[in-house]
Amino acid sequence: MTEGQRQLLATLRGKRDELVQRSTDIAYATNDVDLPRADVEQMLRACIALLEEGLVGESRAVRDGFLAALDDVARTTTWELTMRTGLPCWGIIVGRLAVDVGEAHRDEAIAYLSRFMGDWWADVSKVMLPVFMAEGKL
Amino acid sequence: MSKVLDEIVGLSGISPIFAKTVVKRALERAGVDPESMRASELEKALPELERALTVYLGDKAASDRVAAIKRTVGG
Repeated sequence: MTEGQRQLLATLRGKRDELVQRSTDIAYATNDVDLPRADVEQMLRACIALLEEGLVGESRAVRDGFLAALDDVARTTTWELTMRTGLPCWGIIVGRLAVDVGEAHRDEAIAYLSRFMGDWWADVSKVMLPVFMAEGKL
Repeated sequence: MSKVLDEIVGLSGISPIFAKTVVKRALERAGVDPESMRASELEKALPELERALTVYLGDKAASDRVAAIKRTVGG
């Protein structure tokens, strides 16, 4: 782990609850989300845990478990709503962390978080798109 | 779904949309068959269950939920 990633991990751990609240707020501020707030909060808490696991780099348990849960979620929503809700939430998480990690590590944090988010959405797409297609929702 | 699994899912505090998947995966990681699980096997599954719930609920809420599951299901 680089010094920048160490700082990012410390920042994330110190801001966990704030990140969950802010990203949940943006989900509800910008969309007609039809899920209970507690459910959305749980998924965003899992996003933070996912990022934490990625930075530590010792396991894929959170990632694999969350992807399995998203297969269930796909059966209750649409791809459009997933995008409209999920992308702003990640935007808040990435933006907040990039600011709070400090100037010395900001560029590295932005690069890391952007790659991480891209890889994550690739995995999400592989899991959710087949469900939406099979159910004729896409 | 087995009665024990059903009870754990209901007490987990996880969204009903994906609670069953989260709980089943935790039980499997603990080496417990979710579909034939007996209450006597709960103790063995608790650490994995708490780890899984913590991802979605955070430390405190997950710990409270596991305590409730232990009380109710574990007898």
